[in-house]
Amino acid sequence: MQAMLRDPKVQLALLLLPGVGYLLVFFGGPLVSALIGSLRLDDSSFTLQWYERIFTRATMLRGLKTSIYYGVAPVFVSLVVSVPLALLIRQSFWGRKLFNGLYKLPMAVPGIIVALMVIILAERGGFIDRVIAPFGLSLPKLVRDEWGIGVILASVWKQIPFMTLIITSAFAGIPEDIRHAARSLGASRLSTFVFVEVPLAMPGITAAILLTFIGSMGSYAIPDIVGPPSPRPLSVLMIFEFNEGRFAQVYAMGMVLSLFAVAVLLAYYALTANIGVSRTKGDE
Amino acid sequence: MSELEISNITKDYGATRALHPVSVNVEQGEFVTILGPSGCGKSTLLRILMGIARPSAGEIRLAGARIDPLPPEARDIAMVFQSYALFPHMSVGKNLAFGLRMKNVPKPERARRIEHALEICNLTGLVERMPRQLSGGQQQRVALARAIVMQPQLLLFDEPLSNLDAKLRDTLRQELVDLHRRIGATSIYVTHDQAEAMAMSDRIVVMDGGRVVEVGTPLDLYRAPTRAFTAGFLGQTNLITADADGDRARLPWGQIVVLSAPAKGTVRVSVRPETIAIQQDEAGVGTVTSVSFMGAHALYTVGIAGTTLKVSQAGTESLIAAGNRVSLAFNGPLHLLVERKLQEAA
Amino acid sequence: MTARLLAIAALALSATTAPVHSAETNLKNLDFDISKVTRENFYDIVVPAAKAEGTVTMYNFAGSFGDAWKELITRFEAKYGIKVEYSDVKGAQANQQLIAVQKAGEDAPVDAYFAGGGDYPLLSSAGVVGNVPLTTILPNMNNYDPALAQSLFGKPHGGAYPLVHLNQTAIGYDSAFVKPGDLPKTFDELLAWAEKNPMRLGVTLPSKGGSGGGFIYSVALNYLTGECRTTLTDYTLTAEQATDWAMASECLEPVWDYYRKLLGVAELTNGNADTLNLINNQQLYMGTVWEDQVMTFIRDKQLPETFRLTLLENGQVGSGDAFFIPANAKHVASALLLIDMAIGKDFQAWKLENKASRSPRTDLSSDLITPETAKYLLPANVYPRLSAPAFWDMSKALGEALDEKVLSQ
Ligand SMILES: Nc1ncnc2c1ncn2[C@@H]1O[C@H](COP(=O)(O)OP(=O)(O)OP(=O)(O)O)[C@@H](O)[C@H]1O
Ligand SMILES: [Mg+2]
Repeated sequence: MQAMLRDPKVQLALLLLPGVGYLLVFFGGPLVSALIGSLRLDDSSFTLQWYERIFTRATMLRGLKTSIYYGVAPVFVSLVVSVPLALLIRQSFWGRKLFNGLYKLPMAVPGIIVALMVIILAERGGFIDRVIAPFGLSLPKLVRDEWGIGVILASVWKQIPFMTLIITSAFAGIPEDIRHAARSLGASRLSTFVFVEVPLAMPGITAAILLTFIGSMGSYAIPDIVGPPSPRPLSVLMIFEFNEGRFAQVYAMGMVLSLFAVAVLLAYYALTANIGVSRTKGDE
Repeated sequence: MSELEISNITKDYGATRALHPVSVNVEQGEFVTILGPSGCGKSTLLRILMGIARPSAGEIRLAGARIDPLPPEARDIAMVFQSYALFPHMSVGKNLAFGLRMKNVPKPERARRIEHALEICNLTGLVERMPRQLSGGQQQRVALARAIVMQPQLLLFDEPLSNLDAKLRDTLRQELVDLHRRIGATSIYVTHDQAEAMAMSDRIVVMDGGRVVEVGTPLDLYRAPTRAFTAGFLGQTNLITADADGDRARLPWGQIVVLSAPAKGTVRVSVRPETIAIQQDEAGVGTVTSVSFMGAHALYTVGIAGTTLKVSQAGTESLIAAGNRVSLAFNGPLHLLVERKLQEAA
Repeated sequence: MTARLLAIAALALSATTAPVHSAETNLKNLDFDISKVTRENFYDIVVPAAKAEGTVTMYNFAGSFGDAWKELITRFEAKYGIKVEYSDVKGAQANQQLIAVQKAGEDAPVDAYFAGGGDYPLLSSAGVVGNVPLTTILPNMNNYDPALAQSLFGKPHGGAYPLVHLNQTAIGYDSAFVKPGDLPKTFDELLAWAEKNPMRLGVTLPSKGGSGGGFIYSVALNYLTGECRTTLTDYTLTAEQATDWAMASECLEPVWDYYRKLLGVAELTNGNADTLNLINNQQLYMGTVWEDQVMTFIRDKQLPETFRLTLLENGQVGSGDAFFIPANAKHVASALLLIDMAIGKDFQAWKLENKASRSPRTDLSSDLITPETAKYLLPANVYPRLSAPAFWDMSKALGEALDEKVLSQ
């Protein structure tokens, strides 16, 4: 036993155990059991029927597309807001400290609360509508609308702080001298931003994109409450199937969603591997 | 009219004044060093010249035209940063091309200039490298090449050698001097290293506490500083209080010396250790308290009339041991210091 | 508690399934002969036995019913001096708990369980439901609706699983916007009204709310005939069979057709409350609703006072929830008394007045409720005449098929 413990291979295995073991137990375990569960009929015989349903049922296929849509669209909108916001926060302006604290608040608000807020505020005939009605204005249809604008806006509202936070720190990580160097070499503010700052902040930006994408693709409460009754994203359909007790179907849908997320993650690694080569501090 | 005229530039950060009115003129092709202790405002002045910081008051003219209201990119000035500030996501070649691209220099011209800059900075063969694949010295040369490839009217250096080890610093310092001789660009070089300043500069601007203390050639400033600060900052010196009357003065121990200019009353003089001749003399008024042999010269500490003087003796064959009495002689007239409390100025 | 449940679950897994449906009674803990109990001698036999028990445990699965049961319990304890241990439970969990206990042969943790009307097939097949002909022996069930007395949603229960609360899906509308002459009376008229008033009718998505599930089944009941209708109302179908039929059958073409037209001009909503909220916001004027939920919303001022209800010819789905005594209940006599009081005329009237909870009693005339409440209930000319029995498995199947055949196309 003692001798065995001194074997470097055994030692290595023991050293790796906490990390690898953790992954196996808390990530691999559930994944494998979900995979097995998704391939079984009630009588434990093998089946692909649950996957077949996902890829043949119109509801499911639209659900998959909708999940991707609800994942991608908010990311783009958030990005358009977060990047300028990150730049603004860098500047000094009156009330900046207060703003800096406040803009992060939505992060702490659970999705379901956001969804209910949207219903109360932005529903037609809801709070905002009643406030602006005297001015002859009315809100467009944001709740249950065909394009899921309400879902996207609610996700965006929730994502922006997180995204801004990451992007702000990505920009803050760029040494000031590098910006100044660009200016001294004749680059305008805009050129400096486009050619120097954005490329250098790219790892942070892509990480923010990835995390918010996966987050909003899996979110349930917002599309369930704010989104149109049809199409429903896979996450909402999953809860429905769960309530119906079709666990194998839930597992299969979970596997498909996870697979998609992993594919995106791999694409991210491939993409940032390139950026990563060029991204290191200048003064190492 | 000078190439660069800095007139009464001040800079306030809130309540703290980083620059009191500073005025400096730099001639075409001149290599001027700004020398001063940490925090004296050297970088602030440089950043104002570059346009990265705005002056609180004053004006700057480059080749006769006012540049202080212009943004950095509109000034024909390039800068070499202390941190190199290379673009980490661009190869050496792209780093060099960046400024030329921004200033819309045509492509063939660009290639020609880059090649030239690489050559004079000893960087040929490294065009494809990324900055993190370069040594510190190579990175600094890239930063230099990136600045000179712009062929600016004015080149600024902010302590470019301070991150390098001593040996590399000496090599690069020499390279810089040679380079300046070849391209002849008007340059302002910031450092807190007096040896560097003296070795490289046509003129030195000595700064302290946000003010210009004194301006002059290295030789003048070393030999005949008019301020105690300059005297102390540029090498070792002895500050002695004397009683002047006309062009003669009496030192505290009674010795009479010749002054470089007539004066009256209590004055201070700066005497470099190597301008004092030391001689063993049982009747002398000084006593050697310590001696260190440095090879090329010996450094004595001499106690005399309640003060201590440093005396350097070159090319001696024998040393005077501590405890021996000595007499001192002053070669040539002594230089008076202008007494002025720095805080009162301007 | 968890450990105990685990132990029960483990036992349940190892024990062989006990035989269910014994011919006579399957009640385990009886100290009196229940076969001798009739409506006439009920109180003579049961009251002393119940008082000897001294306590009774009750489960309630319906979140919105807490205050109603509180009212009942107060009355019960005052009248009999028997303590009621009351718990709110999640239906699905409590069902599983009872099934596990039953399999383990242990005493049931509950004596009187208010459970979902649709749970009977599951509970009875596991042998959980005590075989007591409540509808024939409880004195207060002498006016019980004969249609519900022996079977429920097509499944015979012999009186052991009597509904004590009925709820009704309906069409709700804001009478401030819908004139009496314009009020649709049939499904065709409803479609015509929606076409005339685009996006003013709210239809709950079936999979997101019972008012929508009830509505789609009602539409099918209205448009299907002959063999198609026979399958539609065949309560022997399993959920899976119903789904297969709904996905594949040509029979349902008229239903899909109806929905295609309707959803072009109506708003599909995310739930019962969603529909009501839109009506309250005056964005919708009419929608698919539950009668009892409307009453709750009116009482909470979440619907305008001009809100009214109606039913369409040839009927809309009504459902209900039942009281039963588990086979292994420990306090059977007290449970009998409690259920008897729950179906009593007084409490049923209170429930109707306060919760718009309909009753399976046939003698609950409208003069028992205040006019203030009556105007928010379904009018007597449509209810109960146009109430059709629910078939939830089929409703669900239709809802899923709707998603597939209409919404996703
Ligand atoms: N952004 C700023 N805000 C406030 N004070 C500043 C700022 N930048 C510089 N200062 C102050 O101005 C003074 C001059 O700073 P500066 O950077 O010019 O010094 P320096 O001579 O370059 O010193 P070093 O040799 O250490 O680089 C210092 O006292 C510094 O603290
Ligand atoms: Mg500095």
